[in-house]
Amino acid sequence: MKKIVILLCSLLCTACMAPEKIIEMQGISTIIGFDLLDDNTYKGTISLLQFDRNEEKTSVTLSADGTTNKQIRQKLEEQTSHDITSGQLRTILFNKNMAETVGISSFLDTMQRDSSISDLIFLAITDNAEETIKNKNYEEYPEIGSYIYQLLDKHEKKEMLVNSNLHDFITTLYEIGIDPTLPMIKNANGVAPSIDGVALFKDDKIVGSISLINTLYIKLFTNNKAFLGDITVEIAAEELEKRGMAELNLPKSDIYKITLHPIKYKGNIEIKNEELVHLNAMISVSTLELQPSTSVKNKDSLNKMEQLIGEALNKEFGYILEELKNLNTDPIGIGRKIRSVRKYSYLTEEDLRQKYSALKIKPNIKVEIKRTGTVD
Amino acid sequence: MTERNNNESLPGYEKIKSILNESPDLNCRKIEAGQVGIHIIFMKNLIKPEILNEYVIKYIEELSVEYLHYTYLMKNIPIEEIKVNLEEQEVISSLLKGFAYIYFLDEKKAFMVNCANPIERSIEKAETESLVYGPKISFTESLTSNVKIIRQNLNDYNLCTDEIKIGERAQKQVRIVYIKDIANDDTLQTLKERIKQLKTDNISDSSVLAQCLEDNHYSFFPQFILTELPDRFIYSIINGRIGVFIDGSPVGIIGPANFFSFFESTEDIYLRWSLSTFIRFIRFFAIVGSIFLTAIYVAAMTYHFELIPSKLLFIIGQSRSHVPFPPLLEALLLELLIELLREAGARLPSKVGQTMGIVGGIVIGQATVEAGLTSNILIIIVAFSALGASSAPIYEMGTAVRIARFPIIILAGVWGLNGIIFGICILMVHLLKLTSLNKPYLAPLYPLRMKDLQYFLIRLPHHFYMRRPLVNRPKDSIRLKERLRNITDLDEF
Amino acid sequence: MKSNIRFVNAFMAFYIIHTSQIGMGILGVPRIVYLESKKDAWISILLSGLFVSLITWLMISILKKNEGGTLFEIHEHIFGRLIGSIFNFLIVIYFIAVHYSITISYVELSLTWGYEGVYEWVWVLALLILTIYAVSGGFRVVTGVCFLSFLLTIWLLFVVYRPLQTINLTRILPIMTTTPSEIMKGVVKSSYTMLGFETLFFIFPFIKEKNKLQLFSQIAVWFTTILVLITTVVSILFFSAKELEKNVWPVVSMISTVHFSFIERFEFVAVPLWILVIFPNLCITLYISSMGIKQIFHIKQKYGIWLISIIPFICSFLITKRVDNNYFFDQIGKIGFFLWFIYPIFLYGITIIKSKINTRSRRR
Repeated sequence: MKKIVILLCSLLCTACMAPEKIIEMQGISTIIGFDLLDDNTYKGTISLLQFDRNEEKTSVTLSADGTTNKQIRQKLEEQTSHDITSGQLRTILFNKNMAETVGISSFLDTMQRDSSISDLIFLAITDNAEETIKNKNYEEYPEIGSYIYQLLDKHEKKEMLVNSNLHDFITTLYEIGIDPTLPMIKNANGVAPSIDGVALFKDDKIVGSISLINTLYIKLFTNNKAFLGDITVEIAAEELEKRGMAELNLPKSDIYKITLHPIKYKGNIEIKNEELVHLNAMISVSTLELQPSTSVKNKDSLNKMEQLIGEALNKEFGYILEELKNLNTDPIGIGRKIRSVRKYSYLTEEDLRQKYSALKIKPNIKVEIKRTGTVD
Repeated sequence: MTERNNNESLPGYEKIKSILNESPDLNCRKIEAGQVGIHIIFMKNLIKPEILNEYVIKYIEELSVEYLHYTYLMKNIPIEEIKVNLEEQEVISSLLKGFAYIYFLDEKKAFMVNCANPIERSIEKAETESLVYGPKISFTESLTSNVKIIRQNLNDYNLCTDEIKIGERAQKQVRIVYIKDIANDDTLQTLKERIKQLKTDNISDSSVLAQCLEDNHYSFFPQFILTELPDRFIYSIINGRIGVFIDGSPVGIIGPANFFSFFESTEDIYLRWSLSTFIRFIRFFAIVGSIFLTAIYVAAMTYHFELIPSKLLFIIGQSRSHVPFPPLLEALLLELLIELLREAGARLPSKVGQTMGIVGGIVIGQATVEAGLTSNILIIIVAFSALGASSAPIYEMGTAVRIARFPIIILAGVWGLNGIIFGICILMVHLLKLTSLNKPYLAPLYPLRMKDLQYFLIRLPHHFYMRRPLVNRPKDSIRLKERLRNITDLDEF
Repeated sequence: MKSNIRFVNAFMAFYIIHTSQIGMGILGVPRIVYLESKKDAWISILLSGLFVSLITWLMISILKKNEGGTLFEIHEHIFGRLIGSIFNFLIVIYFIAVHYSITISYVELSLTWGYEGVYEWVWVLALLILTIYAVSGGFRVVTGVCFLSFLLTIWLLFVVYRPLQTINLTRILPIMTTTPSEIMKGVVKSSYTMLGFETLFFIFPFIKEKNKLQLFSQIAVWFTTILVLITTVVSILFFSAKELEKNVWPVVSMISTVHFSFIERFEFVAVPLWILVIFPNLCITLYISSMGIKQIFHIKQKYGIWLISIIPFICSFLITKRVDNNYFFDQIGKIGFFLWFIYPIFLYGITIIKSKINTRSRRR
């Protein structure tokens, strides 16, 4: 008797199936791009995977206008025979214009609330999202979404970008004392899209950008195992001779270039007092290239070389810090560190922003040349 | 030996003939020696003529007349098994077993002698279970020969073989085999009571007997081990289990069994420990994969396409794009096709059966993919599931797994991954409730006996196995009094 | 129903108590405690764990002094049949409410993560039928369910390793900046998560080795505390302040940032797997409430479980909105706090007084 009741109930339950999402019925889009048309109207573009074996095309691009995310989605649904879902969405592109004027947080809120959109999707800024998505010059991937995903994924795995995914961006956005950044993608006719620097944000609007190489200064203090890239330092030849390091028969104005490959680094932010912050870093490098080539063998000249490089780096860093202060954006997280000290934990966001532009920040990078490659 | 005068109840030739429905095999040899008339009644095709001729008829002929009466013959006839103090029922059943009925006309007394000529298959290699190493003989249909094999390989005087007769219409002999000072008394008692309580016509085979003795008749999972190999039988008995033979069946029943014993093969002991442990893990994973892999495919395709990794997305989507059925239907069709192939291959004679298997497996599979009726990824998954189910050393467990797969696929098709987890919960609770001869089915995992895990989950080198597994609650649990080899006894350099 | 052996080893008490504490609460506890105690939420949780450990010790002393027996029998013994039955009935209603709260909480989680269109009562009915099937096997099967589901889900703990790679220590510094009253409010809020140790009151007669029970229950309670502590600390380090306040199930969001190479979105596997975590909770609460019904009304347990299951099923049509659910969980947390954190102290006092009266009357 009991078994009959259980069987009946289970049969009843099987009648209430969950709504099906069979894979080939879905229009799977892995990328979506938003452009700002004019006040409050956005244009959304997606690229759908086509699963038909016989067709030559592997993807289809659709666009629609609307005022909110969901309205754009609905209009896109009207244009295709599949169900558009965002389960496999991997990248979102935003128009630079939109990020400058309106800000992207309203879209990000929708993305966060939707459980079918993963927290690990990549965000990127580009000039014209529609053009980028319609670009056909990608390598061997089935469609543009996979290509841009692999592009950003490779950079993210090597930690070349500071923040790149939704989770990182929102965490940094909501945190007091640090500002987020996003990669920028350049799209030109005839070539595949590529990464062209990192955009700096203040709250959710772009205020400026910084080249990918220079993000090393940010990564020294925010990431632990980032890929800093090969650093090329230019030192005026006269400095070398002034310190008696090498007798180079070069004209005085020439510049001596040295390329370093960082092995390990350690950086920390030191709050000296309310007005002064030291940014200390120690980078172990191996020298890759010296133009013109000299040999730096003995310990004395090595130390002097390290000093010179450190000074050059500090100078460059100083310029970048000035620019950051002008833009009033803090991607390094100095404000956050200030707030974690017990004395200053009462400071609010507005206080920190006010202080930031008046803060004296002293960069203090030290370099340690560990190896010099296979040739001495 | 007291004699009973049952003159009225001992039947003569005419009466026996009428009871046996005028069977043409019933013969009567009437011997007249002087005044004494002796009828020797037998079933011609059930006896060995040499025994009857040499030891009964010739003996009677050579005796002088004064010895030809009931008492003398009964005490001196040179046959090893005689039956006296007979009742009519016993006369008939013994006649049908190959006994000869010697009836003295004047004294109206009779006794029976055993001249049986049972059909015996010679001892051959086991067919359904095969080993790479180790003894390969299998049991035969004759009960005496099976017990003989056990005795030869295990000549412990404590090895008991108790006899019970069951069956109303066709009585068969059942032997319960165990070692008296190892096996657990309660288990033995339970088994004996269950066998005695069986009231049925005829038990044709020991698998039927096993099904009648089970704790839970409705479960998919077998609760007794059925085996054809003497070495597995002996291994279980030495560890404290109890075995049952029935006359006419080459399969022995071993109980109590637990879930993990179905993944043990005696080959695990013959091979070295490293290989056995590895193969045991492969078996576990194969069985788990076999139950759940198709279901995960169905769930992922129908409800959770977000789970598919990005590199596989395009391949999987393409392979599904032409299929007209929803994934649930596609999976069920393919599974049923494989079961059909398996069944057809088993029924056909062996040469044709092999071709059928290859044709079915390769050609039909390929053809369905080309026609666009299934996706090629599903073919791989279903083939792997079929392989996995066959890796269980005991056939019954393999069949249980094959059947248990279908409800889980249906649950996955209805409710996705949640359905699979419901299926896992139901399986888990079912296995927890199941008992085999009142011993928990999931021992030693639950109730947890850490010491027994070394027997069931992995295989350690032999000198670690100093005790018997506790799950069977043996009375004498010490196997070795001291270690097999003293490890510190190394030669000095 | 066959007569199952009703005794289990004391070792199993660890699994019973631990799995009945870990349920749906752990998914949301970082946010709930963070709203009260901010960065020092971990201090609240440690204090809560300490409190729970003391109460467990108290409980075992109460049980030992009352010569073993479940709480239902103790109530009847101390307060007499009528008042004892009223108390028992209130406890039964509490457990039915807890059962429903866990069920509907999971259903909400599941419907948010991937099963949007399903009716709530379908999931509730399925879970109820599973639970009835498990509980009808007796206490041994319930313990087995606790043990096996612990083994099947403990590996989820190691998933925490991935978020640890992207944490930032400044989010938890400086320590001790919140006032003690806020920390105590955090302790009260975390009680809904830490509740579950009260099953100790009801499983005492079934344990074989009663002297080892203290050891295993303390281990269980501290293990739970450490688990909750780890998830809270990692959540605070992983999310920024405002994000943690917004996110309803921070642990699930944390799991969603784990990326395996063969599964794209791991949280779609982790959320169904969570059924295995709540299944022991459901079984134990149903078992205890049916035990109570048997004590009060003398209805056999195998009919009692069917009767009791009707109540959650009917509720699944009534209380389903997020806002109602939150209120419901809050109330249960508060009632549970008073019932199982404060009431055992009174009970201990009454037990001591009663035993003193008994010894005095014996001396006379």
